[in-house]
Amino acid sequence: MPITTTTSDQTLAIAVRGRFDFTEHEAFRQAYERHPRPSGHYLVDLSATDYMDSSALGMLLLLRRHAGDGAAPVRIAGAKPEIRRILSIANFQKLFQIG
Amino acid sequence: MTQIDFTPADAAPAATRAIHDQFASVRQEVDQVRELIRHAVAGLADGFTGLTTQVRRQDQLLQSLLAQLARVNDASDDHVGFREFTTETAEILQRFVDHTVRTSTDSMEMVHRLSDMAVQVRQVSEQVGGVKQIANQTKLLALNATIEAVRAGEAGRSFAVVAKEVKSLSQGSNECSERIEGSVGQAERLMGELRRVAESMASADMSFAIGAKARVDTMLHAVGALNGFIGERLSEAHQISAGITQSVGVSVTSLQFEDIATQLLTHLERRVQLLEGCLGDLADAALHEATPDGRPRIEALLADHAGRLADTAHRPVEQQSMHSGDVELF
Repeated sequence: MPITTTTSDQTLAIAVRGRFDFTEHEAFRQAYERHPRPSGHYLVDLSATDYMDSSALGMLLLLRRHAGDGAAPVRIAGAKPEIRRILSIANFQKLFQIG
Repeated sequence: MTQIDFTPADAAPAATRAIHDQFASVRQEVDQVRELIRHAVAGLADGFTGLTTQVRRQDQLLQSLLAQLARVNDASDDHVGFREFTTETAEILQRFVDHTVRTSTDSMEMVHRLSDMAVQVRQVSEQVGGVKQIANQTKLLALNATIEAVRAGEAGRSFAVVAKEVKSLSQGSNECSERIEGSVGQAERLMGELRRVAESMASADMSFAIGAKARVDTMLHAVGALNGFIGERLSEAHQISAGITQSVGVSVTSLQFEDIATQLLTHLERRVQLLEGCLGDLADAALHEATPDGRPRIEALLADHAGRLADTAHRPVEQQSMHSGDVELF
């Protein structure tokens, strides 16, 4: 499964494996909409993500909107260098906690 | 050294001649030295003047070159410099990226709405299924009613008419349902197409932008460093020019030796003149006042000296012309 979710410590963690693109849109949306909203902490684990295109950036922004548009901080963790560069050029460090 | 022999009788006049010749040579050589110094100093002064002029020209050239470079780098009223151009390019690139992300976000939201719509449409389908079931049940009921009406005979004739109407109504309902299902199918096909379009709009590859940004950042850095580079080189060039001018100044000052040297040569000439007179008088006196015993010794002495003097009297120094092409400076 390319998209896996775990809940721990009030945080909903969504991990994306392999290609993060349009084909994952349904699974990614269900990952955060199906689960009951925790106290507001979200984590996107990109340590196993090899590729990301602009649709993934759109999906991340929609997740942020779902999390309250900045009310609940959304963390992005484990991004590989190429993925980091994509997040940086889109100025995502202003919208997400990238660690 | 070759020796010219003089007889005692010739000794006195020969010695006198030889002494005069020697002093003439001294004067000539003093003249030569004076002339050499004058000529050399004139040449050196010309050279240093030329050097200073060339250095100044070179300095001006460098300054104008660097000024032109600075103009190309920075904007002015009539043109956009490299720096502004590169900054603008970076901004355009960022806007392109922002636009791409916005488009993707909107497209993904559209896909979410399409999914939600698909759920509604499926519910319509289900409802239509329900309606069809009701219609079929109604048709059965109408059939039963018709059968009962026939059984009732004449009394049931109007009832049979009603039953027939109900049957045709249920048929009409089914035809409607079929059309609804057809439209629903069409709607689902169209939604599928919409989803494909949305996928295409949402999926832009980011590596082009990454590469472009890296190149623009490099360019911005280089362009920013250029002004600093220009300033440093100008300052260095000025220092070198100042150094050269100073060295030339020192050299030109050193040429002042000519004055002192010329004065010394003049003193030399005067002393030589005095010595000449002194020696001539002494030689004459020695001969004329000599006793008959002493005279031969004096004549022998004079003859000996005369011989040696005559030998070195005319031996000019060979002027070797100097070509600047043969001189290696370093």
